[in-house]
Amino acid sequence: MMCERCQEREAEVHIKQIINGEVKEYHLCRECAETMGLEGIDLFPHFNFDLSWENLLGSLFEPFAAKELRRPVRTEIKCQGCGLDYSTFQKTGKFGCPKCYESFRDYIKPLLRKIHGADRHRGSKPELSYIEKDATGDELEQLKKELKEAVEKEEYERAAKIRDRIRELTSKGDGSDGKA
Amino acid sequence: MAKRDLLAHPIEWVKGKGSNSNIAVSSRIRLARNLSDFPFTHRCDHEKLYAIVDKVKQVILDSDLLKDSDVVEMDALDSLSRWVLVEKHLISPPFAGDGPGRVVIVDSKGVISIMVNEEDHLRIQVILSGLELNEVWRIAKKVEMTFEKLDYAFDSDFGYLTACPTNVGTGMRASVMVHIPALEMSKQIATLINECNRIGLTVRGTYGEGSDVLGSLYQISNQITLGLGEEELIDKVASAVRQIVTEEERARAVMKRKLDSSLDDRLWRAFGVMRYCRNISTREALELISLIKMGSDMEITPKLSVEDWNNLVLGVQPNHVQLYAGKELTPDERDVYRAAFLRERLKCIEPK
Repeated sequence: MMCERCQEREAEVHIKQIINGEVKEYHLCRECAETMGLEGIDLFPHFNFDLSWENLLGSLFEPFAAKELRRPVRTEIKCQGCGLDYSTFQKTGKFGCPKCYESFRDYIKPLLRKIHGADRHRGSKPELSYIEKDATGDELEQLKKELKEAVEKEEYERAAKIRDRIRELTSKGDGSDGKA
Repeated sequence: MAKRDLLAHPIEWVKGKGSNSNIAVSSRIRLARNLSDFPFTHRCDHEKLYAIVDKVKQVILDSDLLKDSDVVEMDALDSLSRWVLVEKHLISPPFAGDGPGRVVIVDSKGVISIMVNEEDHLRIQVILSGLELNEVWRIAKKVEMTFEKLDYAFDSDFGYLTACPTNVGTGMRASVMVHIPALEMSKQIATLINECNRIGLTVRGTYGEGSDVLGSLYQISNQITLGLGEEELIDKVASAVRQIVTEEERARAVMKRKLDSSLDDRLWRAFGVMRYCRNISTREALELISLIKMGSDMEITPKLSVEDWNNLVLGVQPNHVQLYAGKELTPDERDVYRAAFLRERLKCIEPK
């Protein structure tokens, strides 16, 4: 059996969890199980679940997290800004620098939905307008990429949503490029 | 800038001027902000931490709002002074620990405090007495905009970026401290906590995360920071607190209507113990202070103003007791000095 988290290595750790009568099973490789903060793995079946905040946060990660997260997260994914790798973030629950958010963007969206029930900021913004302009440009690029991906995967419902968002963004400008 | 100055600094929220301040003791907003060009605090070396401090100091010198503030390096304070600041709610408990580059800025009125190089580069905090979150937000936003020229780490998707993903987005924690002994006595706290959690609010002890509930003082705050606007989050906390105040008043009214001798005795006994005790723990002292405040609000025991009450609550804290004694004390010695403090303070509140 393959590890359900990385889909790469043989699953060696099998966890059966019963919470309020609901049975959940996890099959993980040793490495993934360790990254998830299940320290004291050798002590099974009484493994030390240290309920510190970091581990609680860790529990929000795969495979407890949403399906779309279940692509391999390899330790070589590093922040371009500070070099922090994703597994260190998973362990500590803290980012290294502001650029970590950009570097791990796709991985942290499901995490944010777990914590906040949302993955988009709706509050105030810095008044300095150049930041907003730049960000809209970035978002547009990102959306175009996502749209292409969605169409390729034949996820039309998602594609339609992305298309609407692109229209919304482009119509905010002068409108000249919004009529494609 | 001397440490004595900061310890004797006026603290606005203690004065009890805001609305409903007999139950909604204080309103606080904290904003987490980071500078885009630096790693988060825990990954900054010495040099970077002080570079951030220098940038912040420069902004303060140029700011009309903050130029009269005290700017104090935490390393220049002894441990006792730091913990006194924690007890006054000017800094967070983790900030009182060791580590380079930590600076606290407190404005001349004791409304604004800014922690530099806490978990985030800037933790801007504003506290007023009573349920005054809208005013607190107005001030906090003004302070926040003062530092905007330092170029905040911001992302159009994720909002203000923070070291911990639990603070990202608005970076805002809005909290109100409530004094709810009647809800406690009528065993309604579990329901209150459940109801608050259901609408995305957290109920915590007096000194925040992981702290104990003492003297029937609870903190109600927003749990999430992303996906809702600041005003929406504030509104949620404020309307929950308004309801809690109403429920507490109702519970007290019921108690007063069918005042039995056991409650009457309990309130007066609290008064008596405080007046004549010779050795008292923080926990017991806070319980008694809570009772005499409730007795005063219900017009059973002598009148205790909000300001006197807040000063009693602060004064019995372990570090304030040492400040009162003028020296460091062992826990046992503290209990003796705490009793002396209470006896002295209670002299001025005479029974009818």
